[in-house]
Amino acid sequence: MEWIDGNIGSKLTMKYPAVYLVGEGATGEVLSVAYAGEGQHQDAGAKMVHAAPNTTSKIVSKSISKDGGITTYRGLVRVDEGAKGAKSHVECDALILDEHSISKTFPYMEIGERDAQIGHEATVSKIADEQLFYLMSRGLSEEQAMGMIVNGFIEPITKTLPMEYAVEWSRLIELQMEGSVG
Amino acid sequence: MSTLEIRGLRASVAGKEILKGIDLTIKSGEVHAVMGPNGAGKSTLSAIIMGKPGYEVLEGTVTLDGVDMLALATWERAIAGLHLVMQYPTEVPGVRLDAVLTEALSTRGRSTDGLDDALRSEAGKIGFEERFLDRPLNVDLSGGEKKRNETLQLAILEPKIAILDELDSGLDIDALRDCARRVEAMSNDLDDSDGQPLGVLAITHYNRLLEELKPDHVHILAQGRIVESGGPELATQLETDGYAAFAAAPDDDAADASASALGDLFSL
Repeated sequence: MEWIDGNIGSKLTMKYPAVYLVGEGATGEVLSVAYAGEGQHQDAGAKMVHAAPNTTSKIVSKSISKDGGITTYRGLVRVDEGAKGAKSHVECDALILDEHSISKTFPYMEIGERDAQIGHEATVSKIADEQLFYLMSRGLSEEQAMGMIVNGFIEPITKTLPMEYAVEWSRLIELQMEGSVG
Repeated sequence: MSTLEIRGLRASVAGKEILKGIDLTIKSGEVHAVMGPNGAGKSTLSAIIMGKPGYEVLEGTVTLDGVDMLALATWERAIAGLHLVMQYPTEVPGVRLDAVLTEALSTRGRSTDGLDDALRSEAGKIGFEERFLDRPLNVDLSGGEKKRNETLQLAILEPKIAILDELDSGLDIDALRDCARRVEAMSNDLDDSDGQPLGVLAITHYNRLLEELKPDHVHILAQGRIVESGGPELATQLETDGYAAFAAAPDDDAADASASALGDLFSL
């Protein structure tokens, strides 16, 4: 079971695709991308419920905030009693494009079995003025430079998509960012 | 023939005047070395020419072939033909070197056909490992590899005038020789893009860069002013006499500004 989840556009999004792993050895994966611009709040994530033994899950969340936008990762990993040998890995990466934007992370874990293996990694990075200046000194406009940094950031997810979706997704993010730069 | 002309340039950082009137003229095929002690304003000069945020022009002009560079955004200066080789090249995660060069050439309206071959050939000339070509920019590269990467980009983009900000810092002797020789060759050979050799403004603290990169003109920058200009012999004289021999006329203000500029450089 795999979800690929994109969150752009609306004023407030709250979306948490859920995967219930009820068969022994079942696997679930959610890849989530969110972009929050001016006046937007993307509150997104995923739920993984391990209800059977030897189930595995993975959540990868990449969020981008700009012009005062807020991105929140809110996710639940639950391992029920009896779901022995469960494994879960959560990775949340946030990219903040300016001084006014915000990123938050709320990872919830409810673990009912002692032998569960649960991993959580989170990174927050900011596009530094130095990075923009470096790319601009090579002859790229501010829009081009920011677009390249953002696309590089979500590439681990877009490269798992079929070609036409990956291109569409990159274009959508570029469109979202257009007009709001410089 | 292209000309970068700097006239009466005064500039400040964080409200302190660092450059107090710089005049320089660099033409295609010429190599100018600007040498100076720490805090003389060397990095400010390169930052101002390329339009780095945080530096303010108080007075004066910078023109390339008569076009006012100070009125342009950084990327427009690059398209016009200026290129800054940075002292500390920035790491840009997720952005590949070959992708940046493809974008940079397209923006200049130049063909990207054969870029792969050109990259490989240039990498070979300066000992830059091919495995770095499709890596994110400067990420996990050593100091020497970063400077080789800077030199590689310079060779591919073929600007009219290159500003080298302390190319020799952080370089081992082999990398220094490879990079300096490549720039020297570019200052002699005609570009494919505009049929002119590269003009070079090399900003440096030490003479050792100039053993491979042969300057036609050497200028000594102290306390925000060019205090002496001459031929290559000036760099040799500097090696024996030190910067103290070329100190500007006593000027309490200048000394203060220079000392605080030094502080700023370390805090940046």
